[in-house]
Amino acid sequence: MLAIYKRELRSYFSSPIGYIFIGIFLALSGAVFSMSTIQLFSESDTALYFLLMTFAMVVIVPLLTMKLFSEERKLKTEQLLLTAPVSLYSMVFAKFLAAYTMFAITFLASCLNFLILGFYGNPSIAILLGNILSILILGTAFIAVGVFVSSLTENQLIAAFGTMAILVAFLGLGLISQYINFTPLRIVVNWLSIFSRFSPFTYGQFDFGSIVYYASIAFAFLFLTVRIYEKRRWD
Amino acid sequence: MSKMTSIFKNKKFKYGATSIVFTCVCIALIIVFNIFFTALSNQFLWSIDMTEEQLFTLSDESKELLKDVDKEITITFCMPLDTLEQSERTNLVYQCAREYEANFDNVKVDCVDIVANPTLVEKYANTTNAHINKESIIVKSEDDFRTFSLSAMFATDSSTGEEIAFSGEIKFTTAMLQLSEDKPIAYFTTGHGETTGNENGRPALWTLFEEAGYEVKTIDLTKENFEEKAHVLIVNAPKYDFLGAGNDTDEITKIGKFLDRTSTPGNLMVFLDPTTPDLPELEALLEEWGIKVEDAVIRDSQNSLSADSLKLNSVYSNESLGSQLTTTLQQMDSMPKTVSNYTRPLSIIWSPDSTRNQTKNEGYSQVTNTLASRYASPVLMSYDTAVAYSINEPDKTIDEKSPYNIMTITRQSQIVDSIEYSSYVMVTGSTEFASDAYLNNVTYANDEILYSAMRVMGKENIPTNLQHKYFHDDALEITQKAANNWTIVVVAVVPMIVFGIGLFVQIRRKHL
Repeated sequence: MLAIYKRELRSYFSSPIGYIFIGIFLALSGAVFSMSTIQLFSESDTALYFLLMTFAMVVIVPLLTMKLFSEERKLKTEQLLLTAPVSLYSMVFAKFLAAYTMFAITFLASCLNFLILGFYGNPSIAILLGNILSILILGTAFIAVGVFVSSLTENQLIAAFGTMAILVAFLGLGLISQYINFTPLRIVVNWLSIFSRFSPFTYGQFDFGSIVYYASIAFAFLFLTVRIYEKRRWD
Repeated sequence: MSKMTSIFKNKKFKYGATSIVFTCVCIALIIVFNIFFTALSNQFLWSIDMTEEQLFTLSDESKELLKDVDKEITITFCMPLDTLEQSERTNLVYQCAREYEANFDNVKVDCVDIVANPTLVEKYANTTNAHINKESIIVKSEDDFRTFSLSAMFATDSSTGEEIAFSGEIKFTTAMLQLSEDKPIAYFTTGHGETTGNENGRPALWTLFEEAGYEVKTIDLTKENFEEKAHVLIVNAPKYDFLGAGNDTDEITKIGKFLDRTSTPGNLMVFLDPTTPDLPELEALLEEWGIKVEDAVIRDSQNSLSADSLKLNSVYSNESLGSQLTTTLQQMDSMPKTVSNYTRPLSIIWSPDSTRNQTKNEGYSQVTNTLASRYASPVLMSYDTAVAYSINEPDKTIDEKSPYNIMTITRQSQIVDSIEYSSYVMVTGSTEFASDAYLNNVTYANDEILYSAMRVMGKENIPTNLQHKYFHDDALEITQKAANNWTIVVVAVVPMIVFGIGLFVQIRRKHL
């Protein structure tokens, strides 16, 4: 598993994709940071920044995950993975972990922007740390979705857009729920919505229910990816 | 038929079906686990309050105040739960209520959708002047209730209207204390042209006392006596004098005895203004408590809030007794205003106690006997720039110089069987100070002064040790130029460096 993890991580930096991802992520997060804090309100309140970052991740994360399995299928190197002396769970998890490592390192690097708030204001450190942790855990869910969609197709573009579509659906549920008058349906929609579950973190409440929810999404999609490859192995 | 059977017997189908079932079961288990965990998390509040101000945590003071309350109390929100949790403001109030539910077995929280079911809160709408809407919060016990609007749960900056602090805990704890105790009585005198309203509509001052937990009644002192639970007597804008000694009924003596009670000491609030005629009996009573109502009108052309110089912005006294009514306001970063319009100056007729090296601004005292003393001090004053003109001769100023007292408070302390009992007389030289226009205006803190007076007068149902939870100061001291420079750095410079490194690595790899 470690070999697959290292190989995958190295591949991000042996091709332009890793640098493009990091550059775009830092540019996008920098723009969101600037527009939501120092430029717009002159406030160190980062609630809007983290909310907007959840939407920015919808665009950024598929860049990272679109090639994970799609490329293997396209280059016909999938058989090597399937016949490798590692379990499917280890194989999937290694690829997921490589993508997550890239995401986590880049996101944590973008968090250096908060030092600017520290120079000019008095941001709440506890809320910042809580939100950073929640984004990191949310990232596991988003990347797991990307891993799953990538395993379904050999076309990277389709993998990217498919991932975006699913993530937009998850996020969009929270936005449309206010227009649903039928209470039981609205409750279900809010329960499923990633956006609705993320809001308490921005208020200053670290909600364990939401953390377990994001981790469950990650687990579920990784599990489904393994099931896909189980089927392919025996076909 | 045999073809169908062979499909079911096919290895691929059997293993495929089993796999699908297994997958569906696992996904279902994940969903069930999540529902279960979310329900437990909501039930037991499995969350961490990350705010410095502990906005989502019940304070030890509230827990201490409510620990002996055993009455069943329900906090009802008038919108569905999922809607409550979607807004930061409503979520904060809801989580505060949940904290009470988590800490006290006798407190329950529920949510009703009054848009879908308006009859659910009908009885509250019919018995309160407050308008019940989906942002209302009802705190109720078996036989009584209090209603709050969402905006009442927040303290606002009077100059900007911005919400600067969360007051939900103060409101909830106060309401629960009030619901758990017998209500003291606040009497409004009648029979002298006072402003008391009627069953169809009461003045804001009346409602203020109700919201503070009093049972509010009128009293005709010529016919009725004070009940044991009577706590404060309000004389609001009288036009006719009270009956004194020598009459069949002596209202002034009744008031005096009420104030001198030691079992449950009485308190008096008097609101007068320049239109109040001479009331010799009432004014004599006030002079016994050290207060002389001057026949003048205060004008301040430099510090007035109106063109006619009559709307005065008050100065808070720093004197120990008087400042007790304004401590909370003086501690705020942006001190809110209290205003009075068309005001008579009040003079404290006692001299400063020379044995205590008192100065004019440090209060005045009079020792009535060895076991009783009275101590008067200003609460609100005018600015030094104010001038008082005689009511009878509008162009002539009175001898007293500014600053003039707008509101005063006198405390009487009596020692009976080694126990000290205090009663208070508060006089305000403006009836508009306590009018609907000013008490209902969130821009002015006039209502806060009156609430403070109730606390000072010993109305225990308003806890003094609970504080507003001020929101974190998020302001950035950054110039536009610095903001622009940092924007360029984070949006362009850093990413360009990364792209540059990437390009360099790729070119090197190509040539290796």
